[in-house]
Amino acid sequence: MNALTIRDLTVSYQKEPVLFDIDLDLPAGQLCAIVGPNGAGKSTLLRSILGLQSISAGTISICDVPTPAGTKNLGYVPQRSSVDWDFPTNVFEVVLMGTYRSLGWFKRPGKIEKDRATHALESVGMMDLAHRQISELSGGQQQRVFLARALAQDAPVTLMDEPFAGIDAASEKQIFAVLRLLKEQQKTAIVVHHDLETVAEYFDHVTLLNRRIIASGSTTDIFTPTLVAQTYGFAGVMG
Amino acid sequence: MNPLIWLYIVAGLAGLTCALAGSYLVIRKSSMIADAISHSILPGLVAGFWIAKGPNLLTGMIGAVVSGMVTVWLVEYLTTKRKLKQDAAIGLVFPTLFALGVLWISVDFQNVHLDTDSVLFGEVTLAPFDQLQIGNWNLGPQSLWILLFALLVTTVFLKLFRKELQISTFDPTLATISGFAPFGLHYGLMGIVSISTVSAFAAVGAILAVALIIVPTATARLLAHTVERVIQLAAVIGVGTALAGTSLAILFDLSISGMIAVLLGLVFTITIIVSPERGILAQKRIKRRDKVNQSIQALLIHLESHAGTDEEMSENTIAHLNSELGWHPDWTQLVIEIATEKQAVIADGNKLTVGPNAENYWRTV
Amino acid sequence: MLDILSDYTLRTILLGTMSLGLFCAVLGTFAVLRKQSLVGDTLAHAALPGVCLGYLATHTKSPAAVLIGATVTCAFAMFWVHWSTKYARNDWNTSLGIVLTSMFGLGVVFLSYIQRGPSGGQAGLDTFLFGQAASLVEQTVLIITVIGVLATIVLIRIQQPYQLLAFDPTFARASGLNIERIETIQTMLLIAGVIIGLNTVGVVLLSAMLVAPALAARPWIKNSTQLLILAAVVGLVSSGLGAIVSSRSEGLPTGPVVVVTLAILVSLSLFGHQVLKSARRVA
Repeated sequence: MNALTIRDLTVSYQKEPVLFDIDLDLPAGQLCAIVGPNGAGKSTLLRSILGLQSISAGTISICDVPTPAGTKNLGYVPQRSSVDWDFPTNVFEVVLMGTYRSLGWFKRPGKIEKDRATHALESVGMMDLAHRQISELSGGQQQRVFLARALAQDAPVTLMDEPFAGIDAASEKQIFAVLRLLKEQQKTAIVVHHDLETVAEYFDHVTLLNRRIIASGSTTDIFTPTLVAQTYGFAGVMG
Repeated sequence: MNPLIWLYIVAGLAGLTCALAGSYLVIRKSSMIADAISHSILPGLVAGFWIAKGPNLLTGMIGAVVSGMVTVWLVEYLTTKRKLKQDAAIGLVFPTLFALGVLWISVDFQNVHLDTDSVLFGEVTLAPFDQLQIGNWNLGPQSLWILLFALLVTTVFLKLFRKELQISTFDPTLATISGFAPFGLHYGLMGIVSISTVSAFAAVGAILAVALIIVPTATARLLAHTVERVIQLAAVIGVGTALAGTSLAILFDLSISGMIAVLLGLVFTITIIVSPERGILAQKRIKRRDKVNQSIQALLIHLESHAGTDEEMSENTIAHLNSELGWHPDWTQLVIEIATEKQAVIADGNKLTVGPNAENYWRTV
Repeated sequence: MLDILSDYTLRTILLGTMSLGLFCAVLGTFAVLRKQSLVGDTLAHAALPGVCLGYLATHTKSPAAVLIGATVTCAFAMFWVHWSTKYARNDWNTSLGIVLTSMFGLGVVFLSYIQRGPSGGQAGLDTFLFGQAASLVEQTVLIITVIGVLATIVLIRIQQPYQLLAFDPTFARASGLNIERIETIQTMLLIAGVIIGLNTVGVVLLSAMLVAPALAARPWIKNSTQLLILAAVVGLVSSGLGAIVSSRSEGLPTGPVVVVTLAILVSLSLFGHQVLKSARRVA
């Protein structure tokens, strides 16, 4: 089974195409990185998968279910800057939001949902901060809350937008531990990643993207100096 | 029944309804939308009267709610589609709609009594006199029933969509992929604000309606940590100030609407100062505590670095510290006082040594 | 057209409204640049308690007393907005809303006190809310024109540092610009604009007089000097048109006519620009 299947995806802003004819297959149960320079269309790709971006052409399936129905298989970890951290709520409530989709309209979260949230918080080592106001969290803690929320979503595929950006070393370790936990549970993580140094260490599968797919496959095959240099448009980046 | 009691009931209800309706508006940082809606009610009101060929409360109210929603849509359209800043869009839309209302009155309703200034101020004092009559039954003031209706709609909306409002406000993207349409919720929320503003303005005037929508939640946010608490507290503040303002106004024979608005501003300002965690006083205390702790740390570092050396006798004396640490003598004295009291240092005459509790000060670093 | 220019009353109204339109347009351009479009609205409401205080202190409606009173309460309101934004961690617009309603409420309380008194009932709240261009007399117009021209000169003189401030406040501070002084000057001018505008168009409509010309001009300009000039032209034309139309038709108040004219200009500008743009794209 494929976690994500994309065929002939083209996305344009006004006159100019941002993504050209993307064909992509990401295998289930692996940690997949999407790597590319600024302006490569990584966020656009993510938004297209989430169904937030109107696309010019192409099809997207998640766990072999075409979108929009396939979207229900997605968990999501946004960039930290994309939400309002002044919102009056605490850590536990944010994690609980991960269970809302399974509830549908009107229904309130009950014991099952609260247990799921508690469990997710334990997995990221934040249970003791459950009642902390979210505005008082550090950057790494905020990111871990988002990860816990994604765990609580309990989706087969989790999309993450730069989860390692601007956080401390301890949190980075914790986040990587969560990624491994997802893998143990046979789940897929698709991570937009910017730090070339850690790609080989963290991920099984890499997609090199710069407006087009440059290459996509297992990290050992794909993450080579030549291909990376081709993606970033210059030679010798890997020394 | 005594008209004075009706005054309190109407004011309190307006406070409750508006505070509830405004909660998410303020949390979403769109407070000034309430200001816009409150002014652009006028053309809708006139349109309602025009349709009914006279000052008919029901058609007027419906027209007002509709023009409130048109305002919201226009502001939204100008900000998202025409890339104007939200405040610029608001600043353009509501005076325009208001101006249309004024012009319409001057063309069509010169003879009908429609006070534009009473639209803006309202006067609670008049509320009890418009009694609702059905057959032989006197059901109390009309504005009371309108407010009760608005309160019902608002409460049901907030209860029903509790988690949906929460998620779509905090993280619209997650709300979208979780299948909750932020768009529909947004207009639902704006509808609630419109209905509450319209129902409150008939009783207390548009400006006070805006005050009751914005200020209670802004104040509650300084005190509470979760949305539920913020909403509850805002309701208490809304009702409380409305009742207190009414009684003060009656006592001194002044405008009730104005008094409530002034009181709300005062409550908000006082809360900024004295709020137990985020208040200015609390923050000052925390800053001072930190400064003392940092100074004690510096003192301990100094003492330890000279402990057991030949200069210890001369370096680690109170007299020497002033020049060594660059502190004002008063400050040195205060720091040493607190440090010895906490047993972080031990003063032996003039000589200072590291005390048994010094460890505590390292953990706080 | 000629008979308008020969009619003394009309000429006075026209001159007063147009210089106000010009001044508001220039001021508003600065406010829009700094995302302060609603500050004018807040100041306009905050002038009410000042007007009342001026009246209470002197028991006359002397322009000087009203002017001083309004300046004081407007300045206080501005301080209050900054203070509560800083300490309450509010967004700016919430602070504006709180101060706007509280100050206006205070004004209404003062009014109810005045109206209770022996000389009550004559305070003229209507005029305050909606303005009364028709009652403009030569002396007031002279004041408006002089203040307007002076303020425009000052604004044009601080234009360059102000642009820098609007575009990149951190850089502005780092390059040694006295931000506080520029902000104070701009706020003082805005207060002046609000106070002289109250007489003509009133509280509610003032914010459109400030914001609309800049919004109408924005799609067509390449830099902020052009923005300033085009906005000024829009302000002049629409207020002139408004004054003429309302004087020609029985019972149409000037302020609302000016605002509706402005709104029409903004719509034409926004849609015209879009039509041109898509036409260009097709070609």
